[in-house]
Amino acid sequence: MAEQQSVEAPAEAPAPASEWRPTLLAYLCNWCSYAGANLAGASRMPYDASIRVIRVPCSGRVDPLMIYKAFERGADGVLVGGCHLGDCHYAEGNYACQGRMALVKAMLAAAGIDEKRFRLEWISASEGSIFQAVVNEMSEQLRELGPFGLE
Amino acid sequence: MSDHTEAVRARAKQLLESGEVKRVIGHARGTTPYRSAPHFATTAEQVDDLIHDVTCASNLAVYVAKPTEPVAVIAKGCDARSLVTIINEGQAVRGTVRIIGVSCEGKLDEGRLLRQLDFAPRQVKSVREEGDEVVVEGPAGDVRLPRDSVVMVNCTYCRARTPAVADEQLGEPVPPRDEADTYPDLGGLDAMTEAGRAEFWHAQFEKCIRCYACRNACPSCFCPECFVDEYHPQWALHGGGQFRGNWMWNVGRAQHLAGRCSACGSCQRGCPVDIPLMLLNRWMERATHEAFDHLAGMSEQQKQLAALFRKSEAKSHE
Repeated sequence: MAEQQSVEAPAEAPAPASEWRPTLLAYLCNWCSYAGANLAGASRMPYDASIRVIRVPCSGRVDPLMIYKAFERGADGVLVGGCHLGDCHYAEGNYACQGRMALVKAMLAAAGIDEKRFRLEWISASEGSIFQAVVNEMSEQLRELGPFGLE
Repeated sequence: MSDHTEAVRARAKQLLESGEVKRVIGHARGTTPYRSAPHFATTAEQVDDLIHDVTCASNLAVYVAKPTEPVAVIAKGCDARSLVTIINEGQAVRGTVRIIGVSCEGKLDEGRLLRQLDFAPRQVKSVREEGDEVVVEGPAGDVRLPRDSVVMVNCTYCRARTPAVADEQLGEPVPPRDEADTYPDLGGLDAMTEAGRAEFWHAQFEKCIRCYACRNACPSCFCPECFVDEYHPQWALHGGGQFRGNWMWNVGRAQHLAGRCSACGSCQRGCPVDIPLMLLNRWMERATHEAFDHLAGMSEQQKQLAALFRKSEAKSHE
């Protein structure tokens, strides 16, 4: 899914080895954001290939440690996608997520990690184009920021 | 003045003799005149070893783990905050813990004290409080030091100099410090750039030897199995000296204490390599205070932080 090419765009020449590509780890909720990503793929919307998707049952499943671990393991950015508030399949999992991610944002600021490296987005199953826009925008920001490394 | 030794002994004796509690958890003199050690009094003779003075820094809530018999705890403001937090989290039944509140104007930081003395630590004969000064009796007489220069830094912005929750109170209540809500300790971090903060913590976490003294000293760290001890998933690489593993441990630890830390400073005092752990704890305290209007252990009716994330409570935290 992540490697979909647009039918219009001609296949690009492979990037030279020197061209660095960020790693954007995305935790997407099964019911909305993952389905939104699926729609983007099925609709042949091109989006940046730097994204790596992990499907989670609900954005409320995302433990703050999972964000920190991603950075520790070399992700350059982390995206958490969930249903819009009020639309959670489990009624309030995304509220739990929203509260936790507020703490994560504070912690990342304390640790000195650029706020652009972490995003929480509400993307519904019908918002393939928003998924595309978010991934492209965030990938572009990560390219500008350059590699993140904890070494 | 916060020497409550006599009051503590008298009250402890009453409570034990009447059988209201089976054990009084307090402090006794430690291995040197500027140290105290936790003390558990169950008989009248043991009560005579109880003290409560400027050296009684350690947080006694750490010794209250699911008591089966009624206990009394000699609690400073921070101990009481921790007790309320762990009771709220089901680690003790409120009825089995009698909180004997003592007012407190700051407790000694051994390092800050000894660095100001021009004689050897073993030459300290006694330490006492007089007014706003701490008086150290040394080989050539008394040395007087302003209290704020020798107490733990977190005491200088304490919001609980008198316990907010207690069954009874020994000593005159002391108001919170004016600095409590301004977070003066975070000024340094605030002034840094993001890259500067990353560099700062890199230098700090690199020192970590992962002895987990911070975890052991903390009343809120009561999990039977800590995330850092899990193997699957292995959240943090094991062993000291690995920066990435150390980073995961310290960040994860502060995350888990968000909204639960009583700012007692035990973790930092326990740290053998002087990592300023309180900076991270206080950073998260400020964040939860601002975003959720939540301060750990300041009221018994208070909900746990995570309960404030629910739909019925939520504001937007974008």
